[in-house]
Amino acid sequence: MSRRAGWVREAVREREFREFAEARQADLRRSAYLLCGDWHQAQDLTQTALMKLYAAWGRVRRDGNVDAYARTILTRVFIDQYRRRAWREELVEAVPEAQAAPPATRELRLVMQSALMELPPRYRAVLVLRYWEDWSVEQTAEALRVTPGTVKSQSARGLRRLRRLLGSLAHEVNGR
Amino acid sequence: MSERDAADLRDAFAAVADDATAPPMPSVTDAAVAGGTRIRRRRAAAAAGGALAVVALGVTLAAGLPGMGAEERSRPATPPSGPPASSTPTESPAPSEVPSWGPTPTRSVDRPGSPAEPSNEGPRSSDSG
Repeated sequence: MSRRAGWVREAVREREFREFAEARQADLRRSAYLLCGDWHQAQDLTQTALMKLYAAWGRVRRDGNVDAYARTILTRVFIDQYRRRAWREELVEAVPEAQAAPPATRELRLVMQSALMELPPRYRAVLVLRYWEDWSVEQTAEALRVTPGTVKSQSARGLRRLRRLLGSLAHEVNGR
Repeated sequence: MSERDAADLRDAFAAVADDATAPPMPSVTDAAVAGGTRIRRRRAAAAAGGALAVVALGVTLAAGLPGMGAEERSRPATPPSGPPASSTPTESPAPSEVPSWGPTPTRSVDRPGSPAEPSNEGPRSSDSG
């Protein structure tokens, strides 16, 4: 009897997770892409984040705000992977993907993407969470396991650097 | 940062992460479910292993405590051949290993008046001999 109840609970749990994952994975992948700048890596990040989310699904579901939890996992996975890879690999210059898009949008996209990828991953994560996900300083601090003061300073520094990079990249693009 | 700047940044992010630029990607739900199940199984196995290890450690520690071993439990509280409390020497019975037809120990010969006395394996006080 209890085995049957356990089996039913598992089935419900899996169905709920599948519904969430199907509905949210495109958004998660987009956020991952902003963090890493590569769609395939973004796909891997999304899968790892969803995998970890499913492992903790019961607790997360009880606590509520599953979406925020998923994005927190995604950001942490990205930072962990980047940190692990940083000492294993030499950084190579990222080649932007050539995709079909309107010229103006494509240029803006490339400039912005190049500038974003120039930022250190921590700054990138702070900016994406603060200005793309629209999270508060406290939420961002909790997700990145740093103090709110660190989020504020990294956010200010990241923005300053992004502006400078965008300025110089835009100048290069216009000068061509 | 002003609201306007924040909005500009959001627009720029939206342009970067435009879905139109994304290659077609398959769903990762099945892989996530499989991976998540594997993580949970591993965690459950690790928890069970940890609990077993704790129990085993507890048993080992309990067995290693003084007075808790099997050897200690079978031994009497006071040893029979221990030194006597008083200075008067006491004769302990002959050990069972020495047969009655065996050679008479030399020490018993030294003692007058007790030729057939079995040897005493236990300690003697210095004033007895």
